[in-house]
Amino acid sequence: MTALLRRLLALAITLWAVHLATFVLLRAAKGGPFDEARSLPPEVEAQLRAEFYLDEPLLQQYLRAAGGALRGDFGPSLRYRDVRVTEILADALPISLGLGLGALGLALAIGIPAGLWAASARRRAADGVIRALATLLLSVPNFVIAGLAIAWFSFGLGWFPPAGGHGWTAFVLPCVCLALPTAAQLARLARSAALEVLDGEGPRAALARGLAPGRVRSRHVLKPALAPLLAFLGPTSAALLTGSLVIEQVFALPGLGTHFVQAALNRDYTLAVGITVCYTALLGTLTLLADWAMSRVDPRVEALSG
Amino acid sequence: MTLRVLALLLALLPLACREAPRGLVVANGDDVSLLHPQRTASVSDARVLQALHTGLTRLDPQTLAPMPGLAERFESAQGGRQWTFWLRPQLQWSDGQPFGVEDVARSWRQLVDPAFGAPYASWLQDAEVQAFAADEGQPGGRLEVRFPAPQPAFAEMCAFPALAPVPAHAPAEQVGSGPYRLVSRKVRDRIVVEHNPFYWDAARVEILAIDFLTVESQVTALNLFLAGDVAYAPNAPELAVEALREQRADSFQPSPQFASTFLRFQVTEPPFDSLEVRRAFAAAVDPVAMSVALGELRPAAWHLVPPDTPGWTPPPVPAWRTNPSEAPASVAGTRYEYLYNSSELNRSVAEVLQAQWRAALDVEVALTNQEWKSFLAAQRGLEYQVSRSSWIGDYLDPISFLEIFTSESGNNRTGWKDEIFDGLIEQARGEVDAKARALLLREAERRLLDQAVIVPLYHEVSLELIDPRLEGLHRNLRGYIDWGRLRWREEADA
Repeated sequence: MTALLRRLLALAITLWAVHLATFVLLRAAKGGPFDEARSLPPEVEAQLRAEFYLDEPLLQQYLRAAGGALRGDFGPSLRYRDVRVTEILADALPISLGLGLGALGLALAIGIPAGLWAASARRRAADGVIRALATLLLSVPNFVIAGLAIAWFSFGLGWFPPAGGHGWTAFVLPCVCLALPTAAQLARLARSAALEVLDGEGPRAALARGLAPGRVRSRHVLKPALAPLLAFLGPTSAALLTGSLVIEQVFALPGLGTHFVQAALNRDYTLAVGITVCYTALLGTLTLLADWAMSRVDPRVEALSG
Repeated sequence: MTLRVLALLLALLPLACREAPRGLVVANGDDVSLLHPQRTASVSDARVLQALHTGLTRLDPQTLAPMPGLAERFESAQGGRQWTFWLRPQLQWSDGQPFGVEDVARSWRQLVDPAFGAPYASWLQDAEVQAFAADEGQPGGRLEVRFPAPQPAFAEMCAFPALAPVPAHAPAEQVGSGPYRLVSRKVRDRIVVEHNPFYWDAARVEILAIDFLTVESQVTALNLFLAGDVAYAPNAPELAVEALREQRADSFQPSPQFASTFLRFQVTEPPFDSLEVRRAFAAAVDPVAMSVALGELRPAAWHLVPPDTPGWTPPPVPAWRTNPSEAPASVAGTRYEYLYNSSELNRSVAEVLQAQWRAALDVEVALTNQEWKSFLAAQRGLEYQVSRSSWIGDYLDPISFLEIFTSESGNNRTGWKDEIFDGLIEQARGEVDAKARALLLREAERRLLDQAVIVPLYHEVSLELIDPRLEGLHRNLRGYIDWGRLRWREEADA
């Protein structure tokens, strides 16, 4: 329990530090939220700055932003001035979560069995093919995979819409494109973790004791091999769930990923801070969950539940 | 575990699914930031606002000539110093509430109120607006607008969303007077509008709903267009231009836009405070070679005001531009820097300029690119030597290009202050006679070019993708779309 409390406290401090750093870095960047190709008349710009408290001293602005963040209110977006940051997050998060969970599920479903298979077929053809495929998927950029997928599955076979669209079919291609590089990484990790376990004495001793090979694979290979995968899955899940700029832009999905980048480019201070804090909270929580799961799998890891 | 994750995914997917499109679907480009017609100056915002709000006038989508809108007729007097609009009777907001001349006058008072923060407040800043209630002779009431100086383009300006009336009883983001009314808006996703039964010309609206999708990637917009999922996209990607010209000529015809791209010199500091140096650099630029290098899509520009501006004759190109003399000795031995905002096209332009300056002047110009907001801040703060710029005219009048270079303009961004130029613009603003006004503006442009404050590079073209089955959507200089007059061509007509 103490360990969990310590981690939660660390997460709270991290959130505060990220909030402060985002606030300071954005204000330090050149240009402001109301700079456009057509300059606003000075009195109009002054009015807008006053309306959004940008004319206050920086410390006062920070205290206002920090107070709002504590209440879960990041204020109105400075680009979509009639919309609150929390409303934008509430709209974008389900899209990113749907996309991210789909990609995560797919990556797990493909990556782990492929990695274990490669490990069990060590140095045979299947191992070579899986390793080559994984290397290929890791080295080809996301947008190339997306372009090829659109060419084949949307324009070639006509199975899925090339972007936007409605219903579950709109999520198939983006999920696959987002999942493949993660699946490749998982396959490589699962393979090396499984090989390490297979080379150890545990599985051999179990086999010698007469346990069935299937039971040996699940209890004496899979479980210990999961630990490094879980450590990897924490931050990876957060990255997948909070959206991907490239995939969201290519498939015109209104998730968090595009907001994350565009808010900073637009100098939308409030939205950028809101998304960064949201991302950090997700990252922290998922890492915490992964660590908890690891402590359940590997007793050498400090228990968070005890 | 995998199975559990998949099950959760299947349960969550319906939550994340987007609404089904209805009627016409449009890839609107950049995300719409504001739905209040008086508070925005963005092009992608204006496209949606033209569906939700309508002005006293609307424009002929082919010629851009002003036509009756909320006003059934209008006329000007004293060379555009005085305008009178007779409103249609029994006008209604999109929620069914009635409105009339008083609401237009109130909306315009709100527009010019500095506390309201409207980007186009200056359009009516000095205007005197009087509303005359409806009576037997004028059932819709009459609006009189008096300007201290002529505003010959005011009827055209009235078709712009900024001058559309807005309600007092409801947010202008939700209630308007246009052919469509708002159904839903999701930031960075889509805006859905449906037929407004209270629109003054509702009987002629044939397309019952429009989905404006946010599609920032031009390649994605093209994919959606080619798949038949959207009927209109404002910008095709540069890379696809040649293929589209050859294979989809029925949907893609690059057409002139009321916009120009040019170079700005920062004239308050060396080296470009010297007219001699500016002229040497300007004369070294060959817009024709630039146009060829960029694929001959955009016509070479020798002037700032686009040549298609109605009733406009450009001034002669300065002689030093076409017959350059020897470059002055002061050009050599200085470090030059060219600033542009990051984009593929702008990088190509920068590289062509660098080569042209190297060939003509034997100078090395460093190329610096910045993201949009940093670039704007640098331009506004005069923290540059030469920079890439472009300008889109608000209305078809040369003054909407030229007045940005007056000493007091916030869009000048060169540091150039010239009494002769300011005087010419001021005289033109006060000139009642159209011919005399055009001559003054022509002289102003001649002065601007002769002083080498800017170097025109090319005039912009519109790369719209339009479904050929869509009738009423015409390519025009301003990208103006009268959404209420679109219709799907009958199969037999197609």
